Amino acid sequence: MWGLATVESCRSISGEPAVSDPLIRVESLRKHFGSVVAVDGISFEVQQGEMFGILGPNGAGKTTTLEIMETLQKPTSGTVTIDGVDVLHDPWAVKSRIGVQLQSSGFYPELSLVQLLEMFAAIYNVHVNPMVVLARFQLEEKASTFYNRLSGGQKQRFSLATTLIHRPQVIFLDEPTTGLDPQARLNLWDLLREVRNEGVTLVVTTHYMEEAEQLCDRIAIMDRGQIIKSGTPRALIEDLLATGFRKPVIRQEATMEDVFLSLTGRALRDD
Amino acid sequence: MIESPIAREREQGLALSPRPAGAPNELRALAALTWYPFLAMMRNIATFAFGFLFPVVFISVFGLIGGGGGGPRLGIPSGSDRGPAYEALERYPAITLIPGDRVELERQLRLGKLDGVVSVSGGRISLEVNSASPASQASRLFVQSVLDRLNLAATGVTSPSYQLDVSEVAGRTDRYIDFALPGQIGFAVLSTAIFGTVFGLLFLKQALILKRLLATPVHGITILLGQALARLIVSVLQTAVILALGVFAFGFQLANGLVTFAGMVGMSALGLIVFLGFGLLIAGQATDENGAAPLTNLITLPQFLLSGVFFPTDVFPAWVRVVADVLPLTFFNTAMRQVATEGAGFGEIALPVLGMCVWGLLAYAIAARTFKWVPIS
Repeated sequence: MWGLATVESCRSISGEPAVSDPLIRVESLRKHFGSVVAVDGISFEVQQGEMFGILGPNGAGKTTTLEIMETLQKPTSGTVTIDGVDVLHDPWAVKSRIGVQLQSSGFYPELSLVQLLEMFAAIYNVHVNPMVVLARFQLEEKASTFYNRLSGGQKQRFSLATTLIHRPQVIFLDEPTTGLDPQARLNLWDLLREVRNEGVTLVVTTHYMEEAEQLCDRIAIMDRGQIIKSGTPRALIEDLLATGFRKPVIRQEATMEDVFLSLTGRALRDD
Repeated sequence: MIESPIAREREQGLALSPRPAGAPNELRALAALTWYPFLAMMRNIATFAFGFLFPVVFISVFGLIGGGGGGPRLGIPSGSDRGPAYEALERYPAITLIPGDRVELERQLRLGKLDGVVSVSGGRISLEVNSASPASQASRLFVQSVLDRLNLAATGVTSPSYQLDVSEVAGRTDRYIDFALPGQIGFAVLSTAIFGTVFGLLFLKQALILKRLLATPVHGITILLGQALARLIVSVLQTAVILALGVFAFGFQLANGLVTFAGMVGMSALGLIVFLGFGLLIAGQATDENGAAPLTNLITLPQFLLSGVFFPTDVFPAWVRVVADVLPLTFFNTAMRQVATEGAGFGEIALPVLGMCVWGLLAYAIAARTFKWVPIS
């Protein structure tokens, strides 16, 4: 018993694995639904502590890829390892290392936020002070509110809070900012950066290019089940420019978003 | 290091640095996955309506049906002589006198709504009865008895030479509430086990709650077991509420008091476990309400009608009874009535309990083979 605990703590104290050792390794991943090919032989790696974005139009295979990494679906072929653990071989070891935010909801609408946090704490067998967790995500006033009475931004913040309750190494977020107003989106970006700065690895899907550019360290662009391009946002833009692409330049020193935020402020509105 | 909220939290040990989580504790998870879904269920309108409101309303209605006195209801035309005969009729406890217009009262008598029309003219009491109604025929005995008392009093006999002593055995009157209440428990248990489970689990699937839970280190079977335990608590509460209402408001008779109460609660727990198999069977196959509704109704509605919830199964022709007698809810209602009204022990209800268990095993076996955790998207 003691020996085991020591080994465990040694592993965490000895800290991050070597920089070159990726936290997530996806190799030749393929998923068929009948004759439909959702994921068509993709490979990529996610480094410890980075925010990795998966971009692509609807139906590109983003959610399926995410759900295979989350142990929620089994691949037709290929492998995924997280922190050296094969997702197919030992899904239970993976489940306690990851946090999952689904595209929508995922919570009992008739339970309060404190009750939901207590339920998840019990499932992960950790002890948390729900009020401390809620305060961190600006939800302490909503402690006894039912989940279904929250605004869109509050729901996403709460969902993020539940993914972190057991201090996972990596969290997966499926379109976390879809449907949020600009203030709530900016607020969530700040929270995601904070989480990343604490050493948690993030894998995020999104439709918003601006979001990917602002937030993600590296990006993979998917289409029809394949990764058609990947790299840092800067490198992707450089590559495009190198092909001779030039955007028709319209001199515009502010965008509509700047107009909107300067009129309505950056403060959160969802309380 | 720059003082930031995160740095402060890190000092307090609240920062979210990666750290291996404690090993999952399946028992703690099960307790949480029982208690919190139970709370959610109790706040859910459908659970409340099917599980508590409907049975309570039915019980109240049935309780009131059985509540009227057993004696005859006699119309008495306005204009009858208000002499000693009238008073004697009025004072006689079993008779209910209903004054009214003669023509109207006679119409009601012909329709069977009154048991007789009695008119008093001096010393003469005349009684009209409905030849088609046994209860109406019986009402002449009550009136005759009133008349005998008057005659004895008139002749000055205070202690008659011949007397009839009627002694009562300490038995029970089998009233409709005594039949209806166990049936209502069956209705509530079947509703909770099937409607509740089917639509509850489909909601968990569709709201991605099941998916979110499956991404945590908890086994699917623990989630289902928690759901089952939560419904078990709900159905025990239902039975307790229905029984309390029946006993205290409508004089439902428990054959052996608290022992019978415990027996009935135990029976409803067993019933819930058996019927839950059908709920899981349906919920495991369907992906949405539209797919689940036909099968749910196919399984529940015939049982509500044929299994002796509202009326006894022996009113059906033999060929219907062949089917009705082997339905799981029939077994449940039969056992429950024996426990409730006869104080039957386990040995006496072994056969219907065995019948239920066979159905339960069948349902769980199929459910285990066909259960799908998430809707196929």
